[in-house]
Amino acid sequence: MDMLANLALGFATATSTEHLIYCFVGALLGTLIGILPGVGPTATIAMLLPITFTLPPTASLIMLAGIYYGAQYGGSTTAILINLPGEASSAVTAIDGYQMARQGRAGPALAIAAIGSFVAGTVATLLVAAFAPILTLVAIEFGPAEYFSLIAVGLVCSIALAHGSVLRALAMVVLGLLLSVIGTDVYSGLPRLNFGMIELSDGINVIAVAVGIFGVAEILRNLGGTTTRSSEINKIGKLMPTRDDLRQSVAPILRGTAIGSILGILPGGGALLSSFASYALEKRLAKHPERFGHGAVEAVAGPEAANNAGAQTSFIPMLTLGIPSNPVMALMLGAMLIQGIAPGPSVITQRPELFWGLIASMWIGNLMLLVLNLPLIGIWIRLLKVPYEALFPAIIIFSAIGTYAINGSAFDLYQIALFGLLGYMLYRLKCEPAPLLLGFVLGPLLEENLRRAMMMSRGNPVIFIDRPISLGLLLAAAALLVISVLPMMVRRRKEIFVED
Amino acid sequence: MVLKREDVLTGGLCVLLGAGFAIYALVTLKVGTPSKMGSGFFPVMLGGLLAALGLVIGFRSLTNPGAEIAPDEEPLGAIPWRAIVTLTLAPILFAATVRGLGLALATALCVGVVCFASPRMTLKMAIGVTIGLTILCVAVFSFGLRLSLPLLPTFMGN
Repeated sequence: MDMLANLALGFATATSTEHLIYCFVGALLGTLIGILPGVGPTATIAMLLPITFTLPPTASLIMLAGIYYGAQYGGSTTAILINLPGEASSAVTAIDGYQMARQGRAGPALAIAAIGSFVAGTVATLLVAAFAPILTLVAIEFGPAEYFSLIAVGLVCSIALAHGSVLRALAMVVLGLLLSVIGTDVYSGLPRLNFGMIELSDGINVIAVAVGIFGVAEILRNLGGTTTRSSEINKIGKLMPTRDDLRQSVAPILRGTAIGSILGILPGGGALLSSFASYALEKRLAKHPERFGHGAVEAVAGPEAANNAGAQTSFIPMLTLGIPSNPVMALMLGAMLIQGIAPGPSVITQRPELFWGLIASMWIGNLMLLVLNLPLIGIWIRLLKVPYEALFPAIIIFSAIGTYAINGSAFDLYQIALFGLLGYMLYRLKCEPAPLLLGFVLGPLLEENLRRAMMMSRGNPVIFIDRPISLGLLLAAAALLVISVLPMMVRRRKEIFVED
Repeated sequence: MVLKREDVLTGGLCVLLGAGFAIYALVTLKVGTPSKMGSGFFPVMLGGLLAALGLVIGFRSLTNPGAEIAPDEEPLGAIPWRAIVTLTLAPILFAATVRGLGLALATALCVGVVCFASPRMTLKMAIGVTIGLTILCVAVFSFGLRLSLPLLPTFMGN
């Protein structure tokens, strides 16, 4: 079996002392940041990205991945204990998890969430191992037309998943694409649209964009916000779930894993959608759906498993096709580029130790989270008391030093300031930053493939619908876009997103 | 039906940026033909698209009242001017001073400025945060990651 040999290579890479340490550090940092209030995973990764550049590529990606799933884990802890989801995909966990905590069953809720996440992580790791090579084979057949259409699907997905207005999200994608053309023309190598600034010849710095629109803008939002954080933290109580809890959770965990794995693979899909889908499914299947919202253990188990499986499999499109499915993956893609690795189907053949090592490390990291965090939960919840006034200066200074360290360029820091302002302005105008970042990262790829395809077809756009795979992808993108603007779906989206 | 203020502002921003980029690209770059696109083709196309989207967003509330929804109608609160000024200033200040003053002082200065962002910050806390973060950053970046930034001011010699 090829898959076993690949996984063996992966585990051999991931269990080297160095990689185990970075995996651990990443998972730990992620948990820490997931628990700290008001610090989201995208801002965190953007902030810590520069630090990982001093590491070799494999170690750096292992650590970044650790931060990502660690943050998911930490996010559900706060969702359960203080009804404050660390990130959007934990919002569903907060619905019933917090109710369980108020009934004195925070311990079992945390344990079930952890177990569900671990089971999902294990299954998803196997799925990644099984499907990534197949997808790579397909991707090798891809020409420019197919790539263009695939990127279009990814961008449309990010629009469909944005909260609120579809038009605004579409405008954000286009704005992101437009920002990505600043700098140098990939084809001729000539400078373009750089406003006469030599510093812009490598284009706008992706880290500055991410730190600005996610980090700085988020802080401005928190400082200007009207909502106050509840300081009441529920007691954790007994950690072990009862046999009844476990029995009720088995099926939801497995179903959640399946949902999450499938939705995670879709470009633009991922964790958020899968946790909502799992919650909806469990509620439909439940014998007593009225228990949902009042501390039903299934409503914690399913979405948590789905969320984690989705997070794991969202690595598949990024690693095999070079198409990020969410802002975090977009930053991982940026990290790979800066490390000198061209993301895409060639990664798996040219850097097998990196690819499989990363996948194996995700499983190991999940195991670490399970073993370490449940017993240590008492220490983690103390972090909830850290005041925000001590946190936001730390975020700013870490971002500033880290970004400055990459190129030693003052200009990169001016960009942080500028994108912080832009990010906050967009927030006031109810525009989402995620589609902008995806557009920005995918812009060069989209342009390159568009130009190549059009050159191949001598200017005839029929090439995009002539080729079956490309046609299929474009139809999917169009269908998705149409569905998300249909009044019926608009209502559904509204219901889903404001359910809590 | 009245125009919604944030629709108009969003639309205006999109038209401004989109048209601006499109014109800038048209003037400075070769657009080319579809079969042989110049460096300006993609930017002009995107700029035009963004401007068009901006128009639709800006005037949408006239033609299609109530079709679009904004799920989070939580009040945005007042604009935090103090935070906007300090947080924008901080990275610029750091960039301007790090070469001359060295990592330690530039960090302290930057954190000190950032502390003014929150109205809930007390003086005692600001001093604690500044000292604590400076030590942490020097430890992590200078000693941990061995960045090649000067640690102390240049006039004190390194």
